[in-house]
Amino acid sequence: MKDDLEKRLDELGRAIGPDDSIVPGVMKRIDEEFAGRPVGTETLTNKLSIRRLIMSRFTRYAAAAVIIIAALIGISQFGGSIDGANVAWGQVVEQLNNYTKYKCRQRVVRQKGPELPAMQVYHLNLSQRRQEVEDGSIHVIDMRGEVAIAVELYPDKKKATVTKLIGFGPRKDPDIIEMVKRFEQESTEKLGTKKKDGKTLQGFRHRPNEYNDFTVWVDPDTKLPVEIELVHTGQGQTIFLDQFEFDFELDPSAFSTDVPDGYEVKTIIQDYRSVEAKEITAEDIRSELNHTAYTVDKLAWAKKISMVQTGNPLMRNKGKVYLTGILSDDGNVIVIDQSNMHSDYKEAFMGWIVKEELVVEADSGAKLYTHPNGSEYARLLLKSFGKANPEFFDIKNLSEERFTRMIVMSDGTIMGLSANKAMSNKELQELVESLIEVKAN
Amino acid sequence: MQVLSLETCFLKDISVVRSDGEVVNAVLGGDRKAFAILVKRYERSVRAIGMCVLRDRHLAQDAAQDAFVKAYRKLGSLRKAHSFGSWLMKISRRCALDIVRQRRESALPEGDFVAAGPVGLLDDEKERLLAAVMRLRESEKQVVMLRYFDGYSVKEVAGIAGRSVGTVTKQLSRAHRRLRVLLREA
Repeated sequence: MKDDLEKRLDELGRAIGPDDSIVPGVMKRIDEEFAGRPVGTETLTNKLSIRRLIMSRFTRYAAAAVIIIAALIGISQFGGSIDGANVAWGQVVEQLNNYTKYKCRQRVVRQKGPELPAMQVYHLNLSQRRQEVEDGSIHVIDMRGEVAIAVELYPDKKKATVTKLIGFGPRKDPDIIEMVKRFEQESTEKLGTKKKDGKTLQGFRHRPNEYNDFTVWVDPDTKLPVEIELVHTGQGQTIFLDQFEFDFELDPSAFSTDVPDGYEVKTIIQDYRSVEAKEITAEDIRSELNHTAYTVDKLAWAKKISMVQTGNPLMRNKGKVYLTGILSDDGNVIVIDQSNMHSDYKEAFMGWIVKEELVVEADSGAKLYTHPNGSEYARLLLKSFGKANPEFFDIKNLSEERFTRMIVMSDGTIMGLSANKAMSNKELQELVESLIEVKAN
Repeated sequence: MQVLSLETCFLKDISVVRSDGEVVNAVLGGDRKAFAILVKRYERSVRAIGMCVLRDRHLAQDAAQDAFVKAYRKLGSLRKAHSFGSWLMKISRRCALDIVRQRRESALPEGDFVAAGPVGLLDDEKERLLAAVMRLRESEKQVVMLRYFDGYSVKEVAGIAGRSVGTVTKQLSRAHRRLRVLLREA
């Protein structure tokens, strides 16, 4: 017989209730984040997955920096003496701990895709770095403040791109101590020695999993890395680091994010702060976007239209996204998302969009493509819209038919279209034809 | 389609109650889908922790997803597979607190967050009871949540937690005593 407390606990359990979306949601995320990787091996690629989704130039540099640091500290098991080069990995780690700054050359060889230029990377600390690229451009990254800043300088063209990420920092990327601790548990293989420029180097190899293969060649005298090779099988690329210099000398101004005089500056603002969800107008969208804003004009089967701003669910609700919700006369809910992210990183978006299936090409020239994770994309956007405007859409009505199409307008503007239920190509065509530019009043 | 197949897999697996330790070892052995069993088993408990910290059902849902993904990511570092439940609850609390911190650090003033009040949450009495449950010891919290939130029998809770029925019975009994005291103090 249950007493009063037990009855109350039962009632509490019922009030909390089951949430059927958790299991598929979690498993979907796990599938996406860990596809093809063994469990429990938090790889560098896992850490970077969200930022790779955003695919900003800024994060590409940060990613490279993470890999460099990880490669430096990624092999941390004690070993014995081989071929007279008597260095244990623990001594290398100990030596590395004496330095906070270093420089090296970084080269990336990819199996597919465009070649990446080599660069000299100057690591001042975990929040500041400078990259001198062989094409002549210079990148300076500073993540010490709340506003993280990445500056790209093109001295030959006297052009600069300044990317400001509000609310992204302060950030140390990555937490070096934690990574060292973690890798100390892994096994490290000694490779023997090799000669380079008359110097005997001692090799170490470490494979945290089948997707990352580190080889580090160490100078037995300094006990510091001379060469590092990271084979990233999951990404089909190998990163080579050499020409190391620890405690380099460089004027502090080299890490300044101030653009020199005489440069033409393009500024990109990415706001990572939380966003208050609220209803807005088409004019609000126009005034906030740095590219053409669109709204739905005449659409015969649209019963109701609502516009909201909210946090971008694709960026863990950081940054603003502008959602136009359409309730059709047959009860379908369609959400069109617009944000500055689409234009700031247009090149990266188009890189994968055009590889998807072209579903509809409207008379206006607008094209609709499939999305590789369309169901999840639609879930996130519909859920965000439902949170911002629960009367318009209840997340409980989320359908398994949901899907996403990426819209590329004839002027190059990119938008997302998420529908809760299936739509015919004719309906999609009518919808995209109804999109008109929002013009200033 | 992938989601549906996962659910089917789960339904097949749940017919026999496997201990947390067995499931964790299966996942570590490469059976990724087995993790769905743990998610299903603890989703109410994890959301309950999130609701208590965040006072918002939607945020608690987000925190729960984060917690499970984080647990999956870190599963290799779990020293005792049978301690999964207690370990997960600590992760859940941290994930919920991360969301609180993110909101606090954001431009949204904390006052607005509080003033917005709980979204779709519990009545005062249930909220007090939930808060009291959260103050139990980890081992007691786990058995209380499995027993009452997830509706497992004492025998099933024992099987899941890898403890004897006698131990679980004692832990529940102790938890009841402690809850009564905590509720009187509240």
